[in-house]
Amino acid sequence: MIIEGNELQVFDLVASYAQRYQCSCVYFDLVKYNALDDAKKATVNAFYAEFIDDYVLDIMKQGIFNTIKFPEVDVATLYASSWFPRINYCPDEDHYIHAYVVDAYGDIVWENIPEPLTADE
Amino acid sequence: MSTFNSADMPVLQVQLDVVQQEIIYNAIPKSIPESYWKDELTDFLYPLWDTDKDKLIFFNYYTNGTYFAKRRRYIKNFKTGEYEWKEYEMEQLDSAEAIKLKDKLIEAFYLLDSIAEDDYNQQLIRMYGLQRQVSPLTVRLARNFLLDETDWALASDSPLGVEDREMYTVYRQKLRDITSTGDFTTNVEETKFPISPEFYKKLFSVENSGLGYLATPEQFIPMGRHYLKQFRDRIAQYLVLKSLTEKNYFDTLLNEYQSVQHAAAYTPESSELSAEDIEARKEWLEDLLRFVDEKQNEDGGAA
Repeated sequence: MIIEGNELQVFDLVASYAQRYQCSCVYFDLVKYNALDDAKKATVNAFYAEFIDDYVLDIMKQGIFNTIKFPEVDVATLYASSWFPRINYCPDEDHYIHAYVVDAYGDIVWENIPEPLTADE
Repeated sequence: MSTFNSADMPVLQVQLDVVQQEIIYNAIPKSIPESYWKDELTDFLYPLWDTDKDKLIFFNYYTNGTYFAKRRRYIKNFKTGEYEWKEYEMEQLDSAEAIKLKDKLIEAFYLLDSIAEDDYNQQLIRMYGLQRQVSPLTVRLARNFLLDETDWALASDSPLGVEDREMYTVYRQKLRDITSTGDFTTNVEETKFPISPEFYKKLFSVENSGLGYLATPEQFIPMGRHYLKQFRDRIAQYLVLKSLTEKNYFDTLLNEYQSVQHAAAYTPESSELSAEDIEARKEWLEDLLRFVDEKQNEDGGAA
């Protein structure tokens, strides 16, 4: 009899996949993006089109897939950080797409959460 | 105990250096001509190895079948809003793709010599094409040459008579007017030059008596493309050499003149001395010598 059950989180799936196939994964959460109306989506798309690779924008627009596999963690991090700006660099919350990179150990090595403030800030 | 065999070490077999645009095969470098780069390699590398945002920097293929590629990615720095290139090691692709690129580079390496020769020939053809054209500069050079060559005619000590001097004045004016003629501005190859006074006297006036010098259109004739082309370089060299020689000659004269002036500036002072002055100076010097002698004798005695 099951007495306690936790819903498997997306992160667990991505981490498990990365460990199993010894790769790195860039995950981006499209739940909020998919819920936007067409006009707002167009604005967000225009914002991302300026710097994101076309194939990633296409994936976003389809709104189905949300993970990209990379053999090397450094490349995955470089790409992810050039695709998904942190929230403080987005025009508003609707433009923000939460993303992270999971390495072959199943750890998050980069995430586009706001950077901690420095001493002079 | 383990043994080490240096033959197992990976040795660089082929390298593509994109920045230098060269292929190094078995340590021999060869430059890639622009035409081959554009027509062949760019298409071959796109989009697997090289894209607009991810530029291949170099590709190394080793004897043990491994490879290493470096790329630069064009990314936005969200903090500053500026774009910048970031270098990174490209992820490993299917080895078949790497072998394909390696084979392409080796093929290119052997083709490069003939491509370079073709490029060289094309370059020569382009240069020849340029040389074949008659430009406004060509006409100006010829015109300036003819003006230079007739400077003597209007000099005050010219041996020419009044009539001849007038003809040369007209001739030189017509030469100066060449650049404002319609032919020069619209079809430079057809620019017409005035016949020279010498030509007029010896040939034209004999056959066309009664026609004044440069008074009729047929006394203006195109120089002939072959003349302009053939003598363009010679005229240019002549004018440059003439200008340099004149400058050197002037500088030499100036130096000599200044040294003569300099020497002359001292002569009057020495010649200004009168016989009395000379005598007085002699006496002073003799007194000085006597004084030195006496001093020496005194010192010698004291010692």
